Amino acid sequence: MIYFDNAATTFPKPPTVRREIDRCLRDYCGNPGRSAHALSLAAAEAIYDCRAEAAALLGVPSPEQIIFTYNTTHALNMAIKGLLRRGDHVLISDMEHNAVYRPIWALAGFGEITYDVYPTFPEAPECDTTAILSGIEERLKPNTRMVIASHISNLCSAMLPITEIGAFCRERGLLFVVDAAQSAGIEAIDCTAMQIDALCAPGHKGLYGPQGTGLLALREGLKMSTLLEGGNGINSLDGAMPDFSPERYEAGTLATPALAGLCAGIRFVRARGIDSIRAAERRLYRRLRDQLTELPGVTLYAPAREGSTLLFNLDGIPSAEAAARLDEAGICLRAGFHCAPLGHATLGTGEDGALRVGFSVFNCAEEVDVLVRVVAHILHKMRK
Amino acid sequence: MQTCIAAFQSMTQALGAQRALSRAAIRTRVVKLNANQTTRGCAYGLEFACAQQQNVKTILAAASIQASSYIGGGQP
Repeated sequence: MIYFDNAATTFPKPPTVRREIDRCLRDYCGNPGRSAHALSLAAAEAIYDCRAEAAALLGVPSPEQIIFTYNTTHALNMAIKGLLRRGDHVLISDMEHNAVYRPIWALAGFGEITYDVYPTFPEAPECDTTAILSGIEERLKPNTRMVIASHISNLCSAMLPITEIGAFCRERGLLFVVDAAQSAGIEAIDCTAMQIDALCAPGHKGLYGPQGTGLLALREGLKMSTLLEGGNGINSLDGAMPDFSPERYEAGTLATPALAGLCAGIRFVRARGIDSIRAAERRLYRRLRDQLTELPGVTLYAPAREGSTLLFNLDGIPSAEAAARLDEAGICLRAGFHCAPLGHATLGTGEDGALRVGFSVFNCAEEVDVLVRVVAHILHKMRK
Repeated sequence: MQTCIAAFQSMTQALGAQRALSRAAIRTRVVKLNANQTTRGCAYGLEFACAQQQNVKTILAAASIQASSYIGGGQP
């Protein structure tokens, strides 16, 4: 089996991740932060280790600013609903995932906020920072309070100029929220230098942790209203949630085995190095793109933007049907709209969506060549 | 050995403080505070040798970690 659905979730996970989850379940899976007995403390220390690793990877000054969530969607909902107030105006990019679009759409539907969409020109050969910033500036209103940007698209490898948007927002007193679902662990991120107020990331993609893990890195001093309230082992006599991070935002028992695995995943990424991971995945991207470009009947979307994700269609074959044929050949990739209708509309993929290949460090050139051969075979059979 | 406690608002803060003190070779132990040592219910602290109290305060201040209170050692 060849797995190219890493933009949805990476598979396989590093052996160290699997081993640490197993070790946690066998040796130290107490309830973290609830007691000072040995097993509870061991679990709490494992979770603190994970916060510290995540903070170091993402340029967050303090581990306390890392808030654990179930996934990126959970983190984005926390940031969006916890930071926005009634009457606010928000700007989102034309490549946002439904993890951003749906909460914004829902809040707008309830009459709580208004929003506009700014263009990002993913089909251009290079990122046009000036045009993107102009697009944001043109849409600013007196009540604009937040700008949201998907660091890297979940459809193609178009990357937004996060550093420049961060500076733009800070100069104007706007909150800057980044969806790092496709960039955490693949591109260098420094929340402090990039002036990011809230960074939302998955644990189960480029950080190689298990599903059910995600995080929100919240700028120090920024306080959100809470999405969930409940017990967390401190100030138990208070009706109110604590007013400090991360406990303010983490109600209920954390997923200790999953976070122990995530910690091992982040250590794997830091040991390999972001530059090395990015370079390896771009080599595979170029190899696939260049071969598919040579095949008649293949349409590529935003191919000039090199990265870890490539979107394409086989002319005359609906993407779901093409994915089913690839699955029969033992190749896993994702067809359809990838929970990103805004991005698909921007890229003009049409009524059937498209096929998406997402690489991880565990893919190799031979797998790319097999994919190209199978695609060529499918196209050949269709023409007969 | 007389022991003192640095009280913190949360387990996360206590563990952060413990790491900072460990780097300075000061041994501590995480303890759950008694009800009469807190005002809002469950809270945690770090137990350490009272002789180290000034060092503890200095190291935590340098690490921008603030204990909510110090218990024992004859100081408030």
